[in-house]
Amino acid sequence: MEAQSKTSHRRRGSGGPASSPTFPIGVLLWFIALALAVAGEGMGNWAIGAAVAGAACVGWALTQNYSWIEQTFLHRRFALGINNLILILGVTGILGLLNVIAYRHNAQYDFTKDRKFSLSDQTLKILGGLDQSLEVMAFFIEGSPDDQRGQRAGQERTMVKNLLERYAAASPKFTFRMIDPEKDPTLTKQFNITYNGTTILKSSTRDVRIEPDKMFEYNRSMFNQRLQAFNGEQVITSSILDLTSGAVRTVVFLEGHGERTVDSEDRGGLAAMKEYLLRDQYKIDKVNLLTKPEIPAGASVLVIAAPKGALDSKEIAIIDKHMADGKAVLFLLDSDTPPTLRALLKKYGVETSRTLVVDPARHLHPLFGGTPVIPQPEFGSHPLVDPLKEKKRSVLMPWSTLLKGDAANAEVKGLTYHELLKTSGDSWAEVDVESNTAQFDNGKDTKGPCTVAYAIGKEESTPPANPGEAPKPAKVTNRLIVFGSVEFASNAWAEKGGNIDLFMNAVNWLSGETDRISIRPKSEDVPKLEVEVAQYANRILYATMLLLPGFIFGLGGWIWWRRSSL
Amino acid sequence: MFKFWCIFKKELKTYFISPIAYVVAGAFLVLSGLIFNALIQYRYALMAPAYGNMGVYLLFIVPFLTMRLLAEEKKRQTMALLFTSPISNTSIVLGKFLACYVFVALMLSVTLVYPYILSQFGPLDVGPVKTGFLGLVLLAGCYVGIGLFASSVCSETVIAGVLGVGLIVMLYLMEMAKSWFGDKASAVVEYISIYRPQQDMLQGLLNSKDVFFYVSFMVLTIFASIRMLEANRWR
Repeated sequence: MEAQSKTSHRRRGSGGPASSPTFPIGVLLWFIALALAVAGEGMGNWAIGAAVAGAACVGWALTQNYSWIEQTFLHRRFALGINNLILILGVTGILGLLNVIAYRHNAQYDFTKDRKFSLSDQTLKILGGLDQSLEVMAFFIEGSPDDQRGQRAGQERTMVKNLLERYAAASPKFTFRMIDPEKDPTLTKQFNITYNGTTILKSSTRDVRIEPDKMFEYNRSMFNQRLQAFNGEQVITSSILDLTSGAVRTVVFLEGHGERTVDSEDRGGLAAMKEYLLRDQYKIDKVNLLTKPEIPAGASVLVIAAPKGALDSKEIAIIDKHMADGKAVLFLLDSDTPPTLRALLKKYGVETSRTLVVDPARHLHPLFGGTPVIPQPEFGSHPLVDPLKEKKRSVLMPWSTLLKGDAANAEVKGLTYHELLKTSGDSWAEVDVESNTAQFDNGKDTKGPCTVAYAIGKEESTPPANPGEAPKPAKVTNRLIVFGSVEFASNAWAEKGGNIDLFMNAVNWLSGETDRISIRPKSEDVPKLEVEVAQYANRILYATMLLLPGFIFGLGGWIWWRRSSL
Repeated sequence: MFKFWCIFKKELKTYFISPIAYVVAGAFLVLSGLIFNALIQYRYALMAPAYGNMGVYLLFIVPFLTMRLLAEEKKRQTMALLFTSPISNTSIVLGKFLACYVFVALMLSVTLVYPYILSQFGPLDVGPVKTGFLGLVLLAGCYVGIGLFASSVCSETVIAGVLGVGLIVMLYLMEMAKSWFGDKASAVVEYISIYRPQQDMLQGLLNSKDVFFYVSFMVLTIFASIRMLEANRWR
């Protein structure tokens, strides 16, 4: 009887707990518990109940199979298995700990060409000069990978968070909070947030609001939308300037003579530069001296952008007086500069001519539509261009005219002339500007290097109070900048190379904002190939989809054939 | 060291004389060629989308290369020979891991022809290409480690392959399911995801913590494989 009972017990235990019907019921209950837990709110008690019932079922199945437990868990192999598991968990723990240390002592390297993941010089300068605390509240929902909209929200949040982390690391006076509007409705209501992605910059005195469409540019089609550009740094830095800048600075554009205008979106217009001026918190104004013969009193910089028609002598007199009063003027010229303006510039020691600078040695490559009349000049030495030189940025000066600084014949004395941009020794100033072919004519044309930009001003140096002290920077008044090309600042060329930085640095230098002379942040556009590849697309397709894999398949086939024929 | 080298050489040679490895490499190049040609079509001067997709293709391809590493030895009963030889488990696992990793890295290096082609049509930002490729190679190392671990657990090559794919897919899904967890838990889940570090590298940003994470993940899978091999000795 006893022997029969033992046999029966062994039979019951031989199949393991899985042979007991309560075991699969228990496992099923655990799955139900998991599903209820995932299902969310209100299901917690049911989930716990199902889990407990599942555990009871599995426990019952185990107690009915004691011999299986004995065979499995009290065997030496099981002990060694547990030992293995503990070792693996131990190594996981050690590696986890080392990862925590690595996380806390992370070293980050930005390998992008434009230092996309590093703050620009301009932002760093502004953050370095912060004299008040700034707090940023970024209202972004967490997002989820479940759908396209959720993924996009998550991507936007990550981009802004990463950017704000860099700002906070650069200045202790800058703090930020990422707020999920769905999780913090009180704060969301308090700041009247209606769009996901709204960012608020707070200083002690006022707030600046950034709507998401300023930061993210999307290329929208019928079926989806693709992120085209991320302007986070430009917008946030501009808002910081807005919060912290004191005096209003105005750039006044002369009009009435066919000048390039800031309202024009055409290739030759200056709308792109207007955007950058507004971002740097400049106010834009226009003046037509024929209708209102005075330059606005608050003008920080007067811009004369390639007038086509002649300026009246009275207009010239107003501009002359403005310059004589020590006000700043920016001249953007071309080869068709009116004679009256040439005369005014001559008075200040800059001789202009009806020429076109041709540089066969340093110009935009033909691959990118370049010709020798789009020179890439070298930088001189001046605070305005030094940051560009340091960062090895290049600027393009299309269809530039020759400028000659002539202090000896200048009527206005005491000016200092700095060559900002100069073409190569192989260049020349072509007199025959209408010709389709450019060739150096000895005696007619002027041999290079040709200067295409000057910074001029009256410099007053103050000697150091004590010997051994570093000399103070010269105080500069009567600031003028003359560019031989207006095109470099036009919509067509503004975004090329360092042209924006050159223009904005010029305006900042003229308005006395020398602290802001730097390299500006760039939009994170999706980079595109500059050459039309459609004609090569088939060849690339055959090479990469047929030739390359075909070679590998062929090699495999040859090896198989060699091996099978052995 | 010499024993490790012998295993490494033997395994690498096995890949180069196996037609299957060429078929797998060829299939990978067809798939990556597809995404590269899509980039050309859109005139994108960047490799990030291509490397991102290659990471997904490798998810299915690498387990095909790793499945036979240890499982086949068990299936063919040659494991006993290895166990009785004076070669340590560490040398066996390391040799096999590295051989497979070198083969995968060579397969990936063929795709360097893509950025070269792109660079012929305009200036290409080389930094993200370098870091993106590094990220892909490191991610592939993790896949090789997971595949090797799956192979150490199973004695059937096909099951090892399926388990390898399953484990990698599970890690992939875990990354997607992070929103289910609470704030802190989802941050941990996000950090231990093998796909997260690749995202920064694709953009041209290299973090020392990310490289360390990948290396430690490989170390963990190699160690687990060594322990599983050790467990086989007792059977």
